[in-house]
Amino acid sequence: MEGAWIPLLLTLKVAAWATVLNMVAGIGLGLLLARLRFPGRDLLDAVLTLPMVLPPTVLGYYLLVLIGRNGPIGAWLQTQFGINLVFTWQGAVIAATVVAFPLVFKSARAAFEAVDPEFEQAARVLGRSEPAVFFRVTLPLAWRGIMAGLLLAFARASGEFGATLMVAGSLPGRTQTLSIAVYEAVQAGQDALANFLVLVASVTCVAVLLAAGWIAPGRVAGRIAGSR
Amino acid sequence: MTGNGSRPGTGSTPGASSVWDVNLRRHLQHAGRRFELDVRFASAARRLVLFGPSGAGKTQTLRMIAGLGTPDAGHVRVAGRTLFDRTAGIDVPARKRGMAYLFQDYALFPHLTVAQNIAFGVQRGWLNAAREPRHEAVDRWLRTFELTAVARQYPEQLSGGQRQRTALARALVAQPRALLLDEPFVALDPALRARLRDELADLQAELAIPLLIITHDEADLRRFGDEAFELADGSIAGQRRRTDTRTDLGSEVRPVRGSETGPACGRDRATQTRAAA
Repeated sequence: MEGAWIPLLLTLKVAAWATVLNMVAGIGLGLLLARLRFPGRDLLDAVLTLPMVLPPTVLGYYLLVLIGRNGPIGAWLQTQFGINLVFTWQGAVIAATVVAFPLVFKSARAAFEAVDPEFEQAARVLGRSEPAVFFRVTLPLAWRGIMAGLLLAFARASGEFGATLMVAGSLPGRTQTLSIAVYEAVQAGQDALANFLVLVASVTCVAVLLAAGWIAPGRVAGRIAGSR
Repeated sequence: MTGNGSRPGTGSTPGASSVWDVNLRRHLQHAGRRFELDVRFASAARRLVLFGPSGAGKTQTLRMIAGLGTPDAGHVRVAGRTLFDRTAGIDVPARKRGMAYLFQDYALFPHLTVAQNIAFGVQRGWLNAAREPRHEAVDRWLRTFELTAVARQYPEQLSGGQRQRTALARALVAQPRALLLDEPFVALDPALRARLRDELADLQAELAIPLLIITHDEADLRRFGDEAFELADGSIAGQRRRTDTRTDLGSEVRPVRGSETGPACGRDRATQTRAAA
């Protein structure tokens, strides 16, 4: 049963990185699309939402094409920095990040659009610069919605299976995350291990939800369960 | 259209000592509604009232004076300082205009306490003040407006009068050059209005900063209208001036010269859109 902790820790590491990356990218792009009007905005929104509706294996295939050894990004990383992402835990992070991205992006965009512009105008008249207006007014007022998106993204990233398997494979101890380990255990007929892995995964998810309730009492959890 | 030195509409106002010198034009289009705003007035009054029915363009005018909207043409000068001048290419950003702006519904930051809201105007940087800000000016305004007891409460927990005082304190703490108020008493119940009107009048007299109120309430006009301009359908339609403080201003309306040359077509269009709305 000790074998269960390695995939758990790997899963938490991958999901945490994916959440941090999505926090930056999702907030940035969510703000951009909430505030700027430019031609092709709706198309960009659709493209950025695509990972939510595409089958994860299709997404994984796209990623392989892009970051694989012969892919445009993969080949460039290889020649410039000697970095290879395929079959590494960093590759799993990329897969989990892309799959979970729309959850943060959508929540952030909606949250920014819900902020009454009058608060920002009040801040400007009070002498604050644009970065100060963002960090002192806009972001705090949108934070609840963004936080809900981040939590969903963390949950989605830790449960990622299809795209991760395509990009990072299932190397025990290196890229085998919890959900992949469950699949492998069942396939190999290791029922005891599968039971234990499933239990660990379930307890972890409950712990995450409880932590969410503790971070923002009654709000984030309610939002996930309720309106959005 | 007009030369730099001309001050249309109010030939009787001494130009050099003018506190308010506003000349702005803007074509507004919103949700199929078209509106021509052409507002020109100049005044040396320390307490000026811009009054007229809702939809006349009062708030738009005030927003452009504060820098929250950009006129298509014209200029804005307050207390001798040019804040906007299309021909000279001047457009001072809102954060540098030094205007205190009181929003109709106060726009208090809902995520900040009363003390943090007031500290917003003096706290620099990218972070908000701590829950109990240590600013002498903040403490002074909390005391002045009797808000010390609710300093740690959030706006949603306040009464209407406390909200207005918090918004005023927040606007005044940074020592603004002028005070712009958008229907400041509309959100209050009638009993409270008279009292807060007196408070504001006393405060203005004490601080001696120019004050511009937009309102459709005659009581505001009587209390603060050292001079008043009537706004209708996007342009100045009349002027009232207080000659004796005890005179009821309501009896003394005369048309402004400039308004007759205003764009009649624009007014017609505005009337149509108002009827449609």
